[in-house]
Amino acid sequence: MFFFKLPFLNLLRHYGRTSLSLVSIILGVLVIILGRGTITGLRESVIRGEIDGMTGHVSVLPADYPTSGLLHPLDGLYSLPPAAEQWLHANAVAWTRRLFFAPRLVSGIDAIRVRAIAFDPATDADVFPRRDWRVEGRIPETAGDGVLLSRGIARTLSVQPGDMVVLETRTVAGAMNALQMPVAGIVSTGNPAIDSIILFLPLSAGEDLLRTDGAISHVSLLLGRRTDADAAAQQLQELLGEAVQTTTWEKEAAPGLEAQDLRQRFLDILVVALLVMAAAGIANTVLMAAYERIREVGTLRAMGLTRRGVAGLFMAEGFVMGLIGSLIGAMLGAWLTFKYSIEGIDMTALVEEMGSGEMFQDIPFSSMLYFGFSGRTILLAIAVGMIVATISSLYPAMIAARKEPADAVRS
Amino acid sequence: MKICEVESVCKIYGRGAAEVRALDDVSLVFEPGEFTVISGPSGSGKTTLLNMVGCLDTPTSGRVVLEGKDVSTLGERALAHVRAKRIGFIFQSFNLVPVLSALENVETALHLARFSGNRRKTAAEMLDAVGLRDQMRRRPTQLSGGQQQRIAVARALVKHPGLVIADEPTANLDSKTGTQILDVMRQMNESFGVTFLFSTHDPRVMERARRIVSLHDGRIAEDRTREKPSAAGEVALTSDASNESNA
Ligand SMILES: Nc1ncnc2c1ncn2[C@@H]1O[C@H](COP(=O)(O)OP(=O)(O)OP(=O)(O)O)[C@@H](O)[C@H]1O
Ligand SMILES: [Mg+2]
Repeated sequence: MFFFKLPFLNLLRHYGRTSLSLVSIILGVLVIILGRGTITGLRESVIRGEIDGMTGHVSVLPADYPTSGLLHPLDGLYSLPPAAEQWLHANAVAWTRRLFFAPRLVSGIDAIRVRAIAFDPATDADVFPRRDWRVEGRIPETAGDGVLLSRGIARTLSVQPGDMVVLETRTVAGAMNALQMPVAGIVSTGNPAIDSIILFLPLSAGEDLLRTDGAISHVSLLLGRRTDADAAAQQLQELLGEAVQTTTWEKEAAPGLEAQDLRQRFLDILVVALLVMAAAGIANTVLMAAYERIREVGTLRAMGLTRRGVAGLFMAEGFVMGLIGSLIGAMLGAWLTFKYSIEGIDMTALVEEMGSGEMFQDIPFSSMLYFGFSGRTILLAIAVGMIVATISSLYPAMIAARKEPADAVRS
Repeated sequence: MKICEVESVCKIYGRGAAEVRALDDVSLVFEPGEFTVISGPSGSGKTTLLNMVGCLDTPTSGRVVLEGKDVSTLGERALAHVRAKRIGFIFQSFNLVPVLSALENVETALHLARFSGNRRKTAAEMLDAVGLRDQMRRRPTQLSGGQQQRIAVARALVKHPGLVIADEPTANLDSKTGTQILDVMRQMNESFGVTFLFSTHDPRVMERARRIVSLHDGRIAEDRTREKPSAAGEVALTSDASNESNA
């Protein structure tokens, strides 16, 4: 009865004060869970943006291909040897070819440089899902259908589906070539790397424009599990030789993930600050309790409670506060992260706003943020909350225990 | 065996110029079943002496032997153990745990004494014995001062200690209630043979005592044992009207 009931009852004695201390613990635990959930979610969103929008699980591209900017040289284009195709049929869940180039896009008197992706209409969607796409107009299927512009380009050039645009580029051989095409549709993907400056067109139209004779720049594939990417990349590399290089989603997502590491560190600092505040709050609550109850504690000691028993009594109060606060915080946190791990938070508006700048052009990103729900994080947060609460009541508990019983009952 | 022997005990508080000699070479022997009052003016060392005998504090010099065991050199835990098992305390301002019911307050004493029987039942019986059968579930704040002090008496006695220390137990009670409490304690003293040691300024307490030890400036001024103390039910020598309720 004694050591379980008494701390509870004593905490209820100052309901308001206890609640205030609880709030700080609840907040600390909640921030741990939500923060970690968000960051796991953001990481996953960066990874999914990379896989779904740019790289698949593994991509093959020409050796020494530039990794940033609008540089898409045509001198390394290649065709897949039959052995590689066989390997892909046998090992990839889905695979597709793409041809990247950087044409000038002309509309009336306006012209901008864009990143063009010529895709295989038959297989592209198998590797690069379009479930988050919002298309105004339609997606071109054949060379005659025209081009699909990203929202960013359409906005810059003020074009609409049905308008005519001209693509100017050099062919593989180096001659100038231009093609007038209709705008089939305008797409928002929620992925700033795509929505800013990308233009899609059917592979046949691209081959026509560049005179590639079937050569392509990229092969992208999906595997059964994304963790198999490294092994698959290595096998493909061996099969294809030095003329090409392979890359994986993991390598490509790394720069985007670094930004999340920074966020993680920032969050950790925030959590520590919140926990310090929570600890101070609890220490203060227990200290006040200790001073208020000097005589009561003296009486218990006169009745035979040891110093250690007194300390235990007050630490139990901290522990109970930690337990209740952590459980409430964890329940709130678990509920919110679970909810948003299923529903997701639509960040399209935010991403589009940021995507109009240069900043996100090279960071694929998915506009739906799904929180990462992790039982381990929740348990960790509960443990941290309880430990912090118990430890912060150590000092006041020692103060209460130090008081001599003879002095305590006199007061 | 003596219940308690105090041998040349000195207790000095503070140091140097601030030194206070609260007890100065005090020697006393208490027999089992005594109902003894320590009297004396304020600051004469009554509480200090009771704290020594009650193992709440240790003397600066001299010995305190409780039930044959020297307790003046024991450590904190050992003293706590002795208090838990062998000594009951009753305080001037009751000192009950406000968040616990009367019954739980009494049970706490059994818990700390590591009483192995049915604590709830034992505590309830003791509350019944002090006349609180119907108030067991109430918290101290819902009870009168007299009722609270009865709980304290039950709490001190429930573990059947050898010695009960009561520091001014009636000072916070009106005279009628104080008298009733004294009667309860006297009954307990007689029925359980527990030694009671009081400090008091209250003449009614002194009337009931067989032995009165007077302290002055930390020294024993007088140690007087009467042939026939005025026990409960007897007509008091003094003219305190409240005693009539005991007739
Ligand atoms: N913790 C302490 N520190 C310093 N001096 C103390 C302490 N406790 C008691 N004293 C001093 O010791 C002396 C005896 O005090 P004690 O409390 O024993 O007196 P008392 O007879 O119980 O008085 P009262 O009738 O007022 O309760 C007093 O002079 C008191 O000031
Ligand atoms: Mg006193």
